[in-house]
Amino acid sequence: MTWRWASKVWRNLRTIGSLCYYLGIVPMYRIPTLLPFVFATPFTILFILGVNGNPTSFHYGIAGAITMTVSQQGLFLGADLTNYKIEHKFQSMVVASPVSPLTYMFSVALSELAFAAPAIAILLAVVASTTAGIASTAIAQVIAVVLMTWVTTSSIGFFLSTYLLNTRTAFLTVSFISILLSILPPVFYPVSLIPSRFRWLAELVPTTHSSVLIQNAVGLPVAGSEVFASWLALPCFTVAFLLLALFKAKWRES
Amino acid sequence: MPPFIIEADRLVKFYGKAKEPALDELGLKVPEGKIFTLLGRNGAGKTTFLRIATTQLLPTSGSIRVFGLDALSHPREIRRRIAISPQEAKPLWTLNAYDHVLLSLMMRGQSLSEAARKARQVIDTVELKEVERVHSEDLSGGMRQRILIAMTIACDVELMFLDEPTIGLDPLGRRKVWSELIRLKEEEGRTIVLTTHYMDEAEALSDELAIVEKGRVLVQGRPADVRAGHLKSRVRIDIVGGFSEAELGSYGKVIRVGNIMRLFVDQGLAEEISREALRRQATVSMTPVTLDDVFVEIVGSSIEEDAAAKGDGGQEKGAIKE
Repeated sequence: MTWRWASKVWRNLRTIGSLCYYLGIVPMYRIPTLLPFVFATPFTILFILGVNGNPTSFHYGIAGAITMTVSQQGLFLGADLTNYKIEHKFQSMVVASPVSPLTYMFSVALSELAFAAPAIAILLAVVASTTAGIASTAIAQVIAVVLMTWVTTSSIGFFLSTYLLNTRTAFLTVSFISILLSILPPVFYPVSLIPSRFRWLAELVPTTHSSVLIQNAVGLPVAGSEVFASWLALPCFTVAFLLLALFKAKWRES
Repeated sequence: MPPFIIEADRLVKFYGKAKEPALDELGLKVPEGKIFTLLGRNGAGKTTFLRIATTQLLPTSGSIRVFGLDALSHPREIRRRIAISPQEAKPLWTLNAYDHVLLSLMMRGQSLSEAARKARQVIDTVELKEVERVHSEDLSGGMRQRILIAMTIACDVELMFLDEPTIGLDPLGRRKVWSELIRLKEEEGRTIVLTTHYMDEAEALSDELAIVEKGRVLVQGRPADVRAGHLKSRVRIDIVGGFSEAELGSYGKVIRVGNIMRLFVDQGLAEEISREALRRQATVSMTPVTLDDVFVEIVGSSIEEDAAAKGDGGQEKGAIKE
């Protein structure tokens, strides 16, 4: 029994490794010119906040850029999966194989994260160099938030991909949702700037909580109650969207 | 193991709000260890059937059993034992042929060494060796098609589905693929279900075939039996010039193929028409009936019957345009 289980896990790891390698790492080193597309939007916003000359804005910008880079890659999963499904028919081959939808989603999401890794590494280096004496617990906190944000937005991307019918609308839909998740809510600015009567709207967005937690980790002033609420909300969003992807995504079409 | 590897019964499939079904109570039995071909026009329902059989799509009603398992309730068990090369698929642009085959095997859980050995062997078989390291975006359409075939035939599965696998391949490439499919059937005992528009391919490969039109199976059987069962004891006679269509219509149903007027008649009548055609200095040729002819006859008759049933007259009787 244990042997069969171990063998199944090992096979799944091979599946995840091969899909992640061929869909994420190989394109990255064969066509490195694709990488700036990952960096472009978050780093542009960070640049604008940086030249503004206000160090606090720049630190909010870093928290926002990390959140945006991760959430953008998670959502791009939706566009890429739609492309694999509609244009390449690769997903047809995957569906008609022993690969489960969860394994496929996780593998391709990992390949997207691999693509975002250089940008995240640069941002973490900026955090380390601009924040004096950052604690290792803060770095662990940022990594935990990055992982939860990645799972949340990848689940949204995967769910969308199973309903999107063509690649054109896929890229437009994903770009629009990216704005809703990363630019409009308090990702690049403090949640306290939003009038209190509208704050609940911002709190319905998972990336608000990601950014609040990263802001707190890099030493920006965030109310303790907000941090506590975000530590509760973000895992709930993660689980909810993961369940949505698992049970409501259309793996087998009807 | 059941005698049939796939058994479909009264399969119906409606897409969205479409009024016409893509599959209309389709019933089909695919024997194990054979090459089975689905022939049909575009939109006849071939791909829909393949997508249902490969557990990618749910039917609206009806049942389908693959390996004796209900495909609606046991997709996981079936998926372990099948592989598909979808119609009009495209390889991933940043990967080369070797990567594709390796990915196809490793994502099914094979080890790197095992997958690499198999990938080399299959790449050799489909003659991709010289371009195995070239990105797929830099390859011709035919080469890309070979990659997709290689990805499927490399998988060590009992049942393979190939949806129009040789589209875009040159004649030599097609024959190479045919040989490999026959080898897989004969030496490894695999069952292959394929769809094609090429009648010569269906004749060359199929142990059994089914002609599908408007989601229904019009005829199923061995190619020789299908040929013998339709247009039997007849020969095909093609005439260019010398006769009016109405004149030839008195001998039988005339099919227009461009400038050619085609008739299926018995040997005696064919010789009589040929003599007359030569007297009138018309171009004439006489050949045995092919599967292509049988397909046109069967599908053409079905279209005429449908048109008559709808009361719109359809095409003029006695002059089907191919």
